[in-house]
Amino acid sequence: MKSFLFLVFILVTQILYSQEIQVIRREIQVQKVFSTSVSLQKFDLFSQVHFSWQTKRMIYSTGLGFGLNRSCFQHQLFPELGIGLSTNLISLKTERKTTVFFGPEARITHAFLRVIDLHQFTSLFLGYYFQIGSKWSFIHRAGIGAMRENFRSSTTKNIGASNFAYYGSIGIGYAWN
Amino acid sequence: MRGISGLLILMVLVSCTKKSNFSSIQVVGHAGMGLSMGNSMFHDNSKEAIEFALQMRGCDGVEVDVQLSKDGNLWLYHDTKLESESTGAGCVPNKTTSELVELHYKTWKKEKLIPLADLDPSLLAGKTLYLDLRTVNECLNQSINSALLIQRLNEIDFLHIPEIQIILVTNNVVLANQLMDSFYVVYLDVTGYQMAQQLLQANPIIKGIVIRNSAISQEEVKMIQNLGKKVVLYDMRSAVGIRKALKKNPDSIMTDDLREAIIETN
Repeated sequence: MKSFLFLVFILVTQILYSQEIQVIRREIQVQKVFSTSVSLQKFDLFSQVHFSWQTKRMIYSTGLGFGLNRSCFQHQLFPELGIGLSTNLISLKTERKTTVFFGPEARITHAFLRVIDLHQFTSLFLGYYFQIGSKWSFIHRAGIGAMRENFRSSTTKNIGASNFAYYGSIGIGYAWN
Repeated sequence: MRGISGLLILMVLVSCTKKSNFSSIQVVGHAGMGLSMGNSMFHDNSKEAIEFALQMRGCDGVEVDVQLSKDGNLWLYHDTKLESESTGAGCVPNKTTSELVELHYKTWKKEKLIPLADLDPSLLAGKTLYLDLRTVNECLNQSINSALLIQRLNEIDFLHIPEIQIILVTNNVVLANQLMDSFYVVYLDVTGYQMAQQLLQANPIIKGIVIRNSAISQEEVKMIQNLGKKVVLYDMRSAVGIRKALKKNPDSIMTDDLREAIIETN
């Protein structure tokens, strides 16, 4: 994890300084970002689309995803809905209008899988959000947290179990306005 | 945007295609919810994993790994060495119950090791319980006391309830014959078709075989079934692997991803 964060840091500094321009801190404009990503989670590899509303300090996002393994290879839709909230701990804008966002993120997701009964997977993650680019941007999220699986048992009791969960996603975004 | 819409439509179409009918094949959870599976909620052979699996509609039973402790109790543990998966060290046959009761798996939830007698018989009613019997003490390279093993099996009440189908699995032919003398249903754990054929011909009283999915073809499964024997396939993790196993039309599959197997068979 430490080496991964170090790698992200190196990537950011290299991109910024390779352009030989001075990084200036200034107000980031409010923007709407549509993004698509793949996200590795405990139960599947999810293909997702997100819509983010980015302000000076906060990023609000909502997303819809599908578990690729189960949806594509098992003929069973595995949809997931999610909402996220991130704070811009670092928000930089270069003279070439390259924007960098980095900050902690909280994310809640809810996924559904019909086995025979409907299994519901609710997850709460704490992690980070990283975005670099201008009109087009590279977006990366990762986090750890807890998840709970619920279903009705063969004796119609409500059964649930919790466990550790994780996610890591990479994607591309497009900003307008 | 067009690409994403296309992908979504493709997913819907793929998910609506007709599936083959495998509903007659029994789905059994390998060591509960699956062996060493990242997406399992609990560690294999733990009470939590076994109970979670048994409560899932579509699960026809579970397989557990049984080892005899030093003081003659039957414990559930898969590996030969305790240090590989638990907080203990050494082998189960060298440990007493008081030592084993202190151990837990090296997981976030720290599930405890449990004796076979601790399973809840009410959850097993109408289901099949496969007991994979370990017959060698790997630390001492010795065979375990088979007479004591059979005696301990006889002492567990729920193994003799008619509502629960008990199938014992072993790779030891001598033990298999001893178990059948005690009226247990025994399947042989074999490594290949040739071995299965030879052993079944030499021991016609054995009811079936348990074999790795990759070690047997569809035709060979059919030939074993033509002898009047059951075939149980194991070692399948992905949806593709489960589907390949189901296409061989075995009597049961012991799956490492119970949810995927239930979806495929229903």
